[in-house]
Amino acid sequence: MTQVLSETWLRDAADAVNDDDAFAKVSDGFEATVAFGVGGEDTAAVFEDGEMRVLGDAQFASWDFALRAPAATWRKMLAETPPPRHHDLVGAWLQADLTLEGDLRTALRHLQPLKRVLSVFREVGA
Amino acid sequence: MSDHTPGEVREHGTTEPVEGRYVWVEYDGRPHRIYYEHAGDGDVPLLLLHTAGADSRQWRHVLNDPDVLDDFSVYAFDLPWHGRSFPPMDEGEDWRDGDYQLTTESYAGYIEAVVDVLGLENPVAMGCSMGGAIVLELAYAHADTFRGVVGVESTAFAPKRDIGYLDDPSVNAEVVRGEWAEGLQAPMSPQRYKRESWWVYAQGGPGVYTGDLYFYATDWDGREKVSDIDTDECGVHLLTGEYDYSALPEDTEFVGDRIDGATVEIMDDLGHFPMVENPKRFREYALPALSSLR
Repeated sequence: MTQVLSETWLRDAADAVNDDDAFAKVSDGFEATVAFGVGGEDTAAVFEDGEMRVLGDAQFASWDFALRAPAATWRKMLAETPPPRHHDLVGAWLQADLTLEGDLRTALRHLQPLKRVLSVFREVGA
Repeated sequence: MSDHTPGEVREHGTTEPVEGRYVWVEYDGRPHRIYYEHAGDGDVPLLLLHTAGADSRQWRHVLNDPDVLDDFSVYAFDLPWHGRSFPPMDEGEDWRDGDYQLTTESYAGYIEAVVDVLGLENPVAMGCSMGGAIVLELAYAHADTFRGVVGVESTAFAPKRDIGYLDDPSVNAEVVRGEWAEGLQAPMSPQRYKRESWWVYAQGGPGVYTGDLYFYATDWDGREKVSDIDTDECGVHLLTGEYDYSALPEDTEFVGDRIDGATVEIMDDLGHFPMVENPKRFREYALPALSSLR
């Protein structure tokens, strides 16, 4: 079974994000490179021109901000019905063990498309 | 009595039992034109207090609830700077030159002034979030005015509430405030209600939400005060959604544990805006609390 948020998982999820009409609607101006971390491994993905493109190992990329959490936390966040404190990106950051590091201003500026990405990730499934 | 079920869409042509009005209120030597809504003709006045950066639209389901209107005369007002209440109306002074900042003193002062001008005798106050915080101050310092309070998502201390960047000029506050507010609600709450929180939060004036958060996240610290609340003078009921990550259930339990005679209910499947996000579920908890304060 593919590890949630691993590079392989993210490549499948990127296809779903790029097929998502709601992401297309809210992603104007969303230009950032994001490191998604799980279990000590970070995978970078670039968002630009309304698309998500997985770059690969984040240690070889210059990222704007990183979202990192243990696999168990990602699974809770991406559950069909997430438990309390895991149902929202900001909530998991403030009250669970998701970490948000780097350029917080850029992350919050693009909160709407970021949250849509997480919603699509939830549809892909953990 | 109306057979309306709160939250249901009304038929074409239906006029709700809610009336909107403006009343002029002087507070701290400054004139304010305050918008308020009123419904019901029950014996007990019930004053509803909206959340930070929002307005009285959040209470539309309670203002339409026949079980509430039977027993209460319900009022919901927009604080100055919010909704349909302008900033202070002083001639010659341009409020754009200053910063809006709500404090414990000014928030309680506005409420007392509205109670006074509307002639509300010994009312109940129900407030959510920052409204759930100020009702604790009302029970502590204004028990001679209020017979009881219902604190929805109440905390005695909420320093994490301001995440920063909400007034950053490079951040589109219209969108980010709404996204932030929507995420505070429970995942199972119906989307058709939750999006109303998103919409209301998209509409605040610049600096108003963060000005409210000055009260909620900085000035308000009721941790020492709450244990001095006398529930024989002013009853206290606290209702908090299990999905609220801003006012956590344990934050409310902290308050409840320190008020002799207070009740605490953690509401299943509800988040930070229960009266907005799932009115049918919220009333299961709110109606008993209100009933006990009649």
